[in-house]
Amino acid sequence: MSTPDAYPFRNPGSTAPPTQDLGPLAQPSRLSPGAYIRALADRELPDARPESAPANLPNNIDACVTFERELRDAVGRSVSSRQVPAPAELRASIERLIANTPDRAPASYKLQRYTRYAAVAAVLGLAATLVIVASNSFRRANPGPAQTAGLTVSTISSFVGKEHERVADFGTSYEKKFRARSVEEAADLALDLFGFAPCSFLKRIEALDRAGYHLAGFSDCSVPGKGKSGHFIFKTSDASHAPVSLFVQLDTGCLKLDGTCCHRCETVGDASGTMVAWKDDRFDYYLYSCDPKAIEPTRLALNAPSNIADVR
Amino acid sequence: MDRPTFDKLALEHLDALYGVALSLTKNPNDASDLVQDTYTRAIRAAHTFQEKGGGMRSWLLTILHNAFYNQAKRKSLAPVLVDEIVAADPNQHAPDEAPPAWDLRSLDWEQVDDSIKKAIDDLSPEHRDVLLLWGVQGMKYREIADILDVPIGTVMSRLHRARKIVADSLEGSEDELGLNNRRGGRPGSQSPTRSPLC
Repeated sequence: MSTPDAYPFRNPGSTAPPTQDLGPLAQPSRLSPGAYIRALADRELPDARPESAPANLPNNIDACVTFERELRDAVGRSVSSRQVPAPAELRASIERLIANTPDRAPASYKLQRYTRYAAVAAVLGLAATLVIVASNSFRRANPGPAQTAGLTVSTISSFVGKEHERVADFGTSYEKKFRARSVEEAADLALDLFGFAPCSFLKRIEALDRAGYHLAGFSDCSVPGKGKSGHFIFKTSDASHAPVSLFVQLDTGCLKLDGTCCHRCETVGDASGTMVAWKDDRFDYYLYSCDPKAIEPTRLALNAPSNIADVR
Repeated sequence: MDRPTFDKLALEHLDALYGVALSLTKNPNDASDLVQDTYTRAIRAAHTFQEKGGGMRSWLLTILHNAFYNQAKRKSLAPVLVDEIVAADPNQHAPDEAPPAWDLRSLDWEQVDDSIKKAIDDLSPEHRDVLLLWGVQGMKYREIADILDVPIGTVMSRLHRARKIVADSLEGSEDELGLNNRRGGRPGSQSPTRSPLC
């Protein structure tokens, strides 16, 4: 049986029939009296004959067994009575995930992973070059005090602007970068990238979809900073508005974004556009478009903080 | 198994999975993320699922626990329980005692739900996990061992500790309720307050 080897994923128990390895239960006579009574109460003993029982059992064994069974029922009842069903939003999200995920053949999975690795390597190399070029351009365009050590919103905006412009024509660069083109592929990739596939991503994709901006791709990315990052790109169905990019990055505290407001930064130079950055829960979000008119409706659709602080 | 059948079967366990995720994470948002993770992984591995053993529920719970404990390990939150060193050797017995035998005619189990719930909430994650799989999901030791990828002896050891803590919590409740605790309630039987074997 093959299991996806992409992530720490133990054999989920369906690879082989349940083993007959009963551990200590295979020799009831060697159990302690307490362990024997509990196993007897739980109907776990393959051999519950009195002659197989350990020595020195208490005389009130029936009462002990009854107590343990009542305790089990009480545990089940007290927890179940307080359990809540899965939230409707989660159920809807899972149903969509199931409906949108096609059957996957094992052979193609490995091929996809190989090409994904190759794409990541290419993007990382390109991103590193872009960062160097972008920072040099920024310094030339904005002479003044030297940049201090540490990450800034301006550094990020320069990077995201360049990266967005590189792929926003949906040409060769876009084709090479964005292997995940659907919601379920984006969820898979987010799982690989971040170790989990946040519900918040799906909510944001849906929110932008309702606003007329449809998911055109998701890719891992190398946004400056320590946190792992990804790049969503969205476009309108009739190309009536410029595409927008939403970069997401695990917040490591380097950028120190204020979670109560958006930080707006205009990029200049080769990539002229507007970036809005904010922090929500575990992620920093960087929304970018070359068309400022596309920023406000998408920012609102994404439920970003309403306060805006301009970054110079 | 064809995909439509798999999908229908998988969705039937969503509420149970969410309940387990909530007990593990103690946070609704984290529980939702964990369940979302679980189904994403499960759908990716749908072609590997075989309907045997514990079935779909055990399979999904295994994936869920994988995801949770891998995350916890990344955050270095997974302690090693000392008593499991003993439990790993099936020939060794941890210090053990028979459970107290309450006079069940005097104990109203409906009245002690709150005590039980509080005692469960106060358990460590590893002990609570095993207790809930045993008590709420009704799973066998073998199933629990497969889900958590630990030996059966470890399951028994954790369950012993968890049950003892919960049972001990009832002692206080019984006193509050003014119930009569007659231990060893059969005529002519010995009635130790604790097993002479501990």
